[in-house]
Amino acid sequence: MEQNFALSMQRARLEAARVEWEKCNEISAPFGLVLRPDEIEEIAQGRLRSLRASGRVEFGEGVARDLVYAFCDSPYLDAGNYARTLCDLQELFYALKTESGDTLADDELIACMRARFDDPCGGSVERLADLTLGDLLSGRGKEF
Amino acid sequence: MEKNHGSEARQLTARAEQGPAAARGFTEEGAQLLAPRLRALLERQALRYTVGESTSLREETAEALYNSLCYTLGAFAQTAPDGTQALCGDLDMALQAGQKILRGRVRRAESLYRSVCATARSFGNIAYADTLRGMRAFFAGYDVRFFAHEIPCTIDYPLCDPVPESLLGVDYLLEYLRRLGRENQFCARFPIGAVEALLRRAVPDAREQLVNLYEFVAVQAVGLSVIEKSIYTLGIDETERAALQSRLENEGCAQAFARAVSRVSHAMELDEAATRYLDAAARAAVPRVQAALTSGELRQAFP
Repeated sequence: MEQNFALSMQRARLEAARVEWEKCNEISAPFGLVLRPDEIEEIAQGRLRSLRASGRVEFGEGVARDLVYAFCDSPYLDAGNYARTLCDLQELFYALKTESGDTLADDELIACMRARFDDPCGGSVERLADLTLGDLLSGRGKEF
Repeated sequence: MEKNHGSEARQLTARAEQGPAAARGFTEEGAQLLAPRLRALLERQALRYTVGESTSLREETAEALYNSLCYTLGAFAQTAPDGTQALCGDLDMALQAGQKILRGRVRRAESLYRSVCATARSFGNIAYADTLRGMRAFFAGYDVRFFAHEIPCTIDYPLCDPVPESLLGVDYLLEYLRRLGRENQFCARFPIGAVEALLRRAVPDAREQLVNLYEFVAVQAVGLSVIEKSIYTLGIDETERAALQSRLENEGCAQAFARAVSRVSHAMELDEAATRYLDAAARAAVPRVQAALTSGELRQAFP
């Protein structure tokens, strides 16, 4: 893809990401989780880094809403770790998406991640990332 | 119609208007100017590709979708009555129209493929036979919606005059088949035994080699025509080879070949395209023949 075209896509995606994460506050606010503008900027930038690291390009509305909707009711999330955790979750999401060879739909992968996040991972994205893809998918269809 | 797209469309189609070899789609400038609308189209295309189940794609997949869009829109712009304005309107409509054009070319390629298969003579050459057989995979696997620029089959057999690499997708296959058909028709005018004997003399293992069969026949025929012998035997003895050497040294290789091509064309009643193809083969052989003349080994060029 021409470099300038890719760059213009990246800029557009960054702006779209900021807007998407702002909207997500409406979903998470009832759980006491609200992202500040500086956190939104960090997550939006983090998304671009994650996409680049996983060799992916994002289209449409992205997965911000789906991630927040799935994880905001976790008892392990609070105002202090919410932004960092979301940033790490989106990074893991894109990495797993590529690792799975794009065989999983977004909502299917998020459901698998969410199913393991509280138990056995105790709200730790690091422990979630330590699971093999096979472990992550082994309970597919049971929890949801 | 959206405003200010005239100049971008002009740039976009500039390459396409240069002819088939340049029809890979956009000029870079045109793509830059069209970027916002092209980006939106690519996003819609990506969502269609993932059937709405994924909001991201691997970079290489996204790039392939983008290249396919450029190729398909280029095909549309190239054939539009007003090429410079063709991409000013709704790009989704232009994409659909481009896909329709490409589907028509696929049908033409299928028809041409059948006709080429009907006249095919592999003379035992494995690459020739495998390439023709393998083309079935193209028609089974060609994805005009998402990967129209790709060529989903293996084409190993080398043509005498290769298809420009700038041609993509079905355009590449169509041009390959046209050229292969031309080669087949030419070779079919010669007795099978004469061609087989020539190949045996020219290549130790013609069956296994990635060599073009037409080239041997064409150059041999041109050489025989230089000394005004019957071309259909494809045979040349030592006396005739000496006469050929003398004629080529006196007249110059290029000039002697040019005249011989005309004679062969006349004798075989070749059409213009077949004559041009023969002429290209003869011109391409000149350096090799000159080297053989210099080394006194004309047998290598005319076995």
